[in-house]
Amino acid sequence: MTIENAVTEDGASPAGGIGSTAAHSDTIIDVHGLTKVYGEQRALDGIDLSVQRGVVVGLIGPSGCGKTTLVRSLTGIIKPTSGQIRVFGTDPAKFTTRQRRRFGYMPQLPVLFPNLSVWNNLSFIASVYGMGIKNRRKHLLELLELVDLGPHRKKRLSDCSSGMQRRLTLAATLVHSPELLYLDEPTAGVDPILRERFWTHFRTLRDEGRTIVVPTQYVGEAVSCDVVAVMAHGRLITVQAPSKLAHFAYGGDPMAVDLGGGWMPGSEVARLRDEDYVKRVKRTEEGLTVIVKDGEADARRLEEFFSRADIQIGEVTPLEPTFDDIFFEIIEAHGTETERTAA
Amino acid sequence: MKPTYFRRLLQIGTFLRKESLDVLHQPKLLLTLVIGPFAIMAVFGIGYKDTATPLRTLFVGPVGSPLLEQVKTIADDISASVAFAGTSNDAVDAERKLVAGEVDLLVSFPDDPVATILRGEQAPITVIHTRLDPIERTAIRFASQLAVDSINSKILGAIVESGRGFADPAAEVLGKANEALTTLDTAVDTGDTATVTKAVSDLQSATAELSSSDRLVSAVSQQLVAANPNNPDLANAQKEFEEVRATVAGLNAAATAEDVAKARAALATINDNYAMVSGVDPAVLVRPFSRKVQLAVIGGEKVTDWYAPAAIVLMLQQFGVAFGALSFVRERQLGIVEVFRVAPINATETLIGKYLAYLFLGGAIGAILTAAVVLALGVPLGPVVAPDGAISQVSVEGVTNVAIAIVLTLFASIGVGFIISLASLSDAQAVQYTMILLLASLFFSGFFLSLGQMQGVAQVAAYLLPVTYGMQLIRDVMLRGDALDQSITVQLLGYGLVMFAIALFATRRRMAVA
Repeated sequence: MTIENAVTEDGASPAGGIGSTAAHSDTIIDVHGLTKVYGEQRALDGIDLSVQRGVVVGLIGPSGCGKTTLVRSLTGIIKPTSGQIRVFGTDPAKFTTRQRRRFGYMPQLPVLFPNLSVWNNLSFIASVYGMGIKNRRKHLLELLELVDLGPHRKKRLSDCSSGMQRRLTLAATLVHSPELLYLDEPTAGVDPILRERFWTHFRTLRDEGRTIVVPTQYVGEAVSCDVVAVMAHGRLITVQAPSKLAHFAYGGDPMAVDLGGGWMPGSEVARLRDEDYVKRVKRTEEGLTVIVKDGEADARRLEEFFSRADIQIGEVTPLEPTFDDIFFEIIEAHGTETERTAA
Repeated sequence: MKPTYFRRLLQIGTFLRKESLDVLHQPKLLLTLVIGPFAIMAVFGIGYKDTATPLRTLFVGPVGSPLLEQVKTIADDISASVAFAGTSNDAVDAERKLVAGEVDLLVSFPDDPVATILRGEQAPITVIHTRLDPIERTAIRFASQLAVDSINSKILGAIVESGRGFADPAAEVLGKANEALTTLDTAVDTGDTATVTKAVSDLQSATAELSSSDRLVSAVSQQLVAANPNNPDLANAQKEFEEVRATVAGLNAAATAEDVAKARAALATINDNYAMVSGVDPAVLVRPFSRKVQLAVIGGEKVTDWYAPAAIVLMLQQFGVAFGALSFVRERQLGIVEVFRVAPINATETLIGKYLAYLFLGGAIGAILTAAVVLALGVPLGPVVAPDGAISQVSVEGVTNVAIAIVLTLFASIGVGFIISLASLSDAQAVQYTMILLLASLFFSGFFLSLGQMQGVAQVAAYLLPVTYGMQLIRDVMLRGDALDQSITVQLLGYGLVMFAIALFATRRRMAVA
C-alpha cells in the first residue's frame, strides 16, 4: 500500500491489497512482505507498505495487533523474520550514524532517567545526538514549552507524573529535529488540550516536509492523520484517508432514512435491498440505515424509491459514524474474513 | 540542528555526566559509600585487640600426680596463652565443666607417665576443647604446645638443677687444687723436692676430678659458643681445660716457679668459667633463649594498618562491580536501551562514558577514604625514612602509587560489573552476582586469610578477583612504602583490559539488532 500526500486529496489505496505501487522517488519507507514471528505467534504477517515524505500516518489497531512491532522493525531495533524493509533506501539494521540522526523514535513507555532532572534528561539526549552545548539551550527551552514542561525543567523526573514523563519523552524525540518520526502512542496520558497542541505541532512538522508515523489506540485521532493504516492480527487491513474510512468500513456510504415514526413493511425492505445501488439495509430506532455505493449520487435515488413505494419519510441524510464505530466495523469484518479464510 | 565536530567526545562526556549525576543525586548512597567503610574500620580499630584472650585451662591428673603440682608453679609462665583455672583429679567433673563452658581447655596428664618414658616413649598430655572455629583451633594448638613446652622445660630445669649437684664438689676440688698449687709454689721456692712431688701429685689428682664439672661448662660452651663468639673465655673452655690438664700433667719434681704460675693462671680460668655457668638459673639453662619479634618495616604495626587499605580496595571493588552491574540492567529495565539502539551512538562511546563516570566517582570515594584512614586512624601512606633518620608516614610517591592502584582496581572492577550487568536479566540477579563476588573476595583475596594459604583452585579463584591484585599493591605501597610491584601492576592492567574488551563485545551485541 502506498501512502503519499496525494492520498489525502483523492482517497484511498486499495484496501486489503497486497501489491504496492512502484516505489516513488520520494519514498521514505518501503516495506515488502514484512513478517515477524515469535515462536508460534506471527506478530507481523506479510506487511506491504510504502510511505512518501511529508505525511502523518496513523497506525491504528487493537492492542497486540503488531503496531509497535512494525515501528520497531522500521527503526532497526528488531530484525524481520522475512521480507524487506527500506527506510531512506537502506535496510534499517544497517543504518549508518548519519542515517540514524535522520529519524527519531519515541517508545511506547517513558524511558528516561528517574534520578535526573527534566532539563538534564533532555540535555542528555541532545548530547547523544551530538548537538553542541553552546547553541542548543534556546531549542531545548522551546521544546519544553511545546510539551508544557518549561516551568518544571528543574524537577527530577521521578517526581513528575507519568503524563509529564511521556511529554518529556516526546520532547526528547524531537530534540534533533528529525525528518522522520516514529511516535508510539505520543498522546497517551496527555490531556485533551495538550493533545490538540501536539497534533497541531505534528501537522506543522508535516508541513515542513517531515514524515510522522503514529501508532495509536486513540481511534479518534485518526481524523488528525493524513492517512490511517488499520492493522489487525499482524496484518495491514487497509490504508485510507480518514474521510474514506467509513466508506471502506461499511462497503459504501451509510445513509440515514428517517421514517418519521412510521413502519416500513418487510417486503418493501427486501425490494430496497434489490436496488442495484444499495449494498445493505438495517433497521434502526429512527428508521433505516442504508449503505449505498455513492452517498451524493444515491441520496436522490433513495428518495425516489420511497416516493414510488408511497412511503412517507422525513429526510435522507449521510450518516457520520464515529471513528470508534468505523474501527469496530473494520476489525469485525476482518475477523469474520479471517475466520472464513481459516475455515 | 547540525551535530558538533566533537560529537564523539560530547557523547562520551554526556554518559560521564549522566552516570555521575545519577549517583550524585543519591546523597544517602554516597554518604553510605564514604562513611560506611570508614566507620567499620574505626569501630574495628577501637574494638579489636590483637592479643588473644588466654584460655581458661583446667589441668587434670591422678591423685598425687607431681605434674599437677608442677603446673601450679608455671602458671605465670604460661599466662599469655592459657589462664590457669586450677587442677582436678576428677576427669568426669572436669569434662562437665568444659561442656558447660566454665573452662575453655582441659589439659589431661597421663596416669603413669614414668612407665611410658622409661619405655623410651614420650608420655602424651591430652588437650581437650570444644571450639569449632578453625582459627581458634589453631590458636589452641599453639597455646597447648607452649604450655607443654613450659612443663617440659620446668621438669628439665629441675633435672638440671639436681644434675648440677654432681658437679658441686668442683668447688671443693678447685679448693684442693688451689691449695696444692700454693704448697707447690712454696716448695718450689724452698727447693723442697719431696713436697713438690707430693703437691704435683695432689694437683694432678684434683685436675682429674674436675673433669665432671668441666663437662657442664663444655656442654654449655659447645651449644652457645656460636651464639656468643665474643665471649672467648667460655668459647675456649674445653681447650683451656685441656691445656690445664696438659700443663698439670707435665709437672714433676723439677717444676719451676714459672710452671707453677702458668698452672695457677690456667686453674683461675677454669675457676672463672665454672663460676660463670654454675651461677646460672637452671630454668634459663634449659631454655636459654626467649623470643623477641621486631618488624623490619617502617609502618603497619597496628591491626587497622593492615586491614584499612584492604577495606578501601574491597569497598572500591564492590563500588565498581555494583554500579557497573546495575548500569546496563537499569537502562534495559527503563527501556532507554531502545533509544540508544536507534541513536547515532555506538557501544564504545557508551562504555567509555560509563567507565569514566565510575572511575571518577570511585576515585573520589577512594581518595576521601584513604585520607580519612590516614588522618583519623594514623594509617601510613608510603612511609619513608629521611636521610637524617626522621620517619615520614606520608610520601608523594605513596600518594601517587596509591592513586594508580585505586584507578587500576576500579578499572578492572567496573569491567567485571559491566559483564555481570550484560549477563543479568534483572537488577536482583545482578545484585546476587555482586554479593557472590563479595563473598569470594572475603575468602580468597587475602583480606582475612593469607593469600599464601590459597592453593590450587582457591588460588585461581583468588586471581580472578580484581581486589586480590589491588590489595597486594595498596598494602605494599601504603604500609611498606614500596614502589608499585611491576608484575602485579601489569597483571591488574591486563585484567582490566580483558574485562573492557569482553564488556565492549557484549555491549555491542546488546545494542545490535534483536
